[in-house]
Amino acid sequence: MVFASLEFLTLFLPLFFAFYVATPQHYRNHTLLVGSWLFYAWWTPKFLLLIITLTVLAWGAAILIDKSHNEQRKTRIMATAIVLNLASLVWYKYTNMVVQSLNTLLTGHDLPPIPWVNVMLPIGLSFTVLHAISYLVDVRRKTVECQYSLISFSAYMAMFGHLIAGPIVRYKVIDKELRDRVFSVQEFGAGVKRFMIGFSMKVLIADTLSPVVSLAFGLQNPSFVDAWVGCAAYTLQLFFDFAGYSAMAIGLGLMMGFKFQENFNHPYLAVSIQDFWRRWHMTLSSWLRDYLYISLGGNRFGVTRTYVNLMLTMAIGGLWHGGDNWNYLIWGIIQGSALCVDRAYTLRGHSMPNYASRTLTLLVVMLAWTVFRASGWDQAMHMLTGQFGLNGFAMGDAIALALRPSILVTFLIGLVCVVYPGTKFAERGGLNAPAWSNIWPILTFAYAVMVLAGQKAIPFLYFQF
Amino acid sequence: MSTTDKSNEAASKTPHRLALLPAAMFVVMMLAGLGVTVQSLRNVPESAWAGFTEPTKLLGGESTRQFTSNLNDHFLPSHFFAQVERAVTWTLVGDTGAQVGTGCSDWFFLTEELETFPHPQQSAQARADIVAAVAKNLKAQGIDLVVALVPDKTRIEQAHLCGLHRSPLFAQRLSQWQTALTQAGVNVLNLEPVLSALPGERYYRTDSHWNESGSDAAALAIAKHLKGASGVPSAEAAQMNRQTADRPGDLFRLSNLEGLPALLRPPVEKAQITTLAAAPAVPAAGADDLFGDAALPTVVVVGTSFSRTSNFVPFLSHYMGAEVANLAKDGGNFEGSALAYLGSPTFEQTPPKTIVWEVPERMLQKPLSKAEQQWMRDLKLRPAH
Repeated sequence: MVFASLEFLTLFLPLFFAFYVATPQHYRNHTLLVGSWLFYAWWTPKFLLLIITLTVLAWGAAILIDKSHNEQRKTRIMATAIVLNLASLVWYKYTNMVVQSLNTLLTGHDLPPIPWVNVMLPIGLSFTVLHAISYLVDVRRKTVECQYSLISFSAYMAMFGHLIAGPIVRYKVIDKELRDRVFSVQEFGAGVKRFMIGFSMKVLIADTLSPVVSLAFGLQNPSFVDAWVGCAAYTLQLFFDFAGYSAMAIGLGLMMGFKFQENFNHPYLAVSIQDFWRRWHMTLSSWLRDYLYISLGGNRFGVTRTYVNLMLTMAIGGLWHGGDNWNYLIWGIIQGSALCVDRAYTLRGHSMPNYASRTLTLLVVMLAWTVFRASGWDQAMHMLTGQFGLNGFAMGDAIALALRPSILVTFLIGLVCVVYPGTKFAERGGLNAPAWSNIWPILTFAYAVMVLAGQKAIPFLYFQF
Repeated sequence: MSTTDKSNEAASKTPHRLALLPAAMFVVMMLAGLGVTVQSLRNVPESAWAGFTEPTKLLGGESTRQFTSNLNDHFLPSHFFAQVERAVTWTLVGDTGAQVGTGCSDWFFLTEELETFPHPQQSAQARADIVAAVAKNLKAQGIDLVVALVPDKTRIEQAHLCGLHRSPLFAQRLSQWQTALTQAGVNVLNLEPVLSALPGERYYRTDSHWNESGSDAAALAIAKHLKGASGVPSAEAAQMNRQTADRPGDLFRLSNLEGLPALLRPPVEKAQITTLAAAPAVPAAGADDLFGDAALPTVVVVGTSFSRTSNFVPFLSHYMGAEVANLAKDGGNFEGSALAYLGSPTFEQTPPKTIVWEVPERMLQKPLSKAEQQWMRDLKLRPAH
């Protein structure tokens, strides 16, 4: 089930909250768990078993770690549980890609390909694995208290707000609320507002731009204008889709009394790549920092090792995003390289004016998005060739036709929303005037629901990750 | 501080009553939504739930997808919501949706006419090959085939495009296809010169088809092509009644503007609607007409909605001086009605003397449908690409 769907808005959500509010406080995790499993099972019920298995594995391993008095044994248990989690991720997410690449090599040398039926990727598996790993490591590091209640731990892992597309909510963030929280009308109201804003971002902006993006990335020889229109539309689509989803997740959490971390902080206003990663998918970047970069040694072992660790962290982070082609790995390497250059440049005492560094950062981010969005290396090269002006300059027929008035206006609104936080109007309070700030989310949400009900829902981009 | 942080901070300072407004509205909307959903699900026909409870479908998620599809297809206010959306986007930015482009005021065009497709030349050539093969087969049976090429509205009425982009690559697509057919020995009539030379409006403003002026001129041109100029009667002789009436076109419906209050949509088009006298009866059957087939029309039209709009076939019947059978199909695409007719018992048992195959320009370069590909295989033609 997706948030931006009729069955979620008009069936699941009202029924879930009716049961949730009616449930005595002590049993609300039970209601949350059952609701979340139903939410997950709506997609493919058989994969629920996998999620439950990984949950029980992490829960049991954490208890063993907590109860053990032998430090080496604790580490062994943690390592085993992490390896099992990663094994499931590798099997479901990367085996197809590896076998297909091997088969390309084999057939290229006139050898018979490996017979293979593609493995289907369960939605949300990547997030489930990251949640499990962070919990296990935190229990091992003793930075969180072990959760002995299987129901409460399962509710944390399966919580429908973050289950399928994040944000990555570390256990310690909601530990207290899992054990004891109250239903507050004020928080429910604040959550509703976040949900409404996120829903509108997804339906009114991301989904509207989606056809232009698909069209541009499907062109064989996009011109300079075609390629940049497609890339810019994707830059906005991805942000409004993912940040919208995160806002909905945060809103749903708030409605139930959970306070998730923010996941975005105006990333396209970043003044460097490092700054970008402090603003984009913040729960992932901090996860990568705390559980991967630091585990690799961080910057504690000299300059060269620091650069190697940066590259490795971002490459693995890139690979985590997708298992259907190698572009994600390349995208991760581009991000890692940019971070290394940024670090070296800054360490040598260089700097540049904000407008220049912002523009340069956005340019690197956008070129990297091209690789990220492309369905394969060939498509990425078609787009990049266009972006570097090697297919001519003028706008092509297909893009000219696709840029209808409503698309252009949506593009403009998206751009204004991205730039708006950096303006003086926003600094003076802008749209946050008390009355208006409670009215415009209702209006946009109502309109977005009408738009949604008039068409078929488009899946979230981040489902595949 | 992020926008959302500021938003929350502002909300915390808001008077209690206003802060709860989103929550109150949300609850109302969700409850209303629940009620509408339950009612909508009651309207889903039983046949749409076929196989819903099969265990394999349930476990594989097919049942829930079926549920989603049924709900989306039968959600009661869907049409109303889509109209509200159109009213908003039309009023604010003049948008008519993905399928309809807006030209000068009140002039709408079908986006499909402006679309570019991959491998356009190969697709057009493949269709020319199909027509050539069909013409050859018909000739062997003593049947004449005439292909009538209908130019795009965006070509004939391009003065009203007003910035709507039409690819320069389309300039030659009609004449190139005509040339390909002529070289293959097919009898082809390009209606573009006739319609271009016609004064006034040749196509409806809010419809993708020709108006009566256009269809009349096209029918006359085809009749002259078939019979020669001398034997064609005048148009006036057939007219019984001619009046002007409101005629919201298909583009009006396609853009979801139909049904909106007058203030929120462009004006409904007024068009000429003619009632024609019946075509002259076919001579009575003679003594040797065992099955009565001498009374069947000898000219058959196959093609698309162009042949079913604006009295095209009645006009043609009049100019031919005989009844013309109209076997064209709405939404028939290039192959739809021709393929159906040529494979029908009607054709086999009572073949006509002449078939007029009306082909709209916008069909020529589209990728071949599965049916067309199969037709090519049946005709033993080489695949297009």
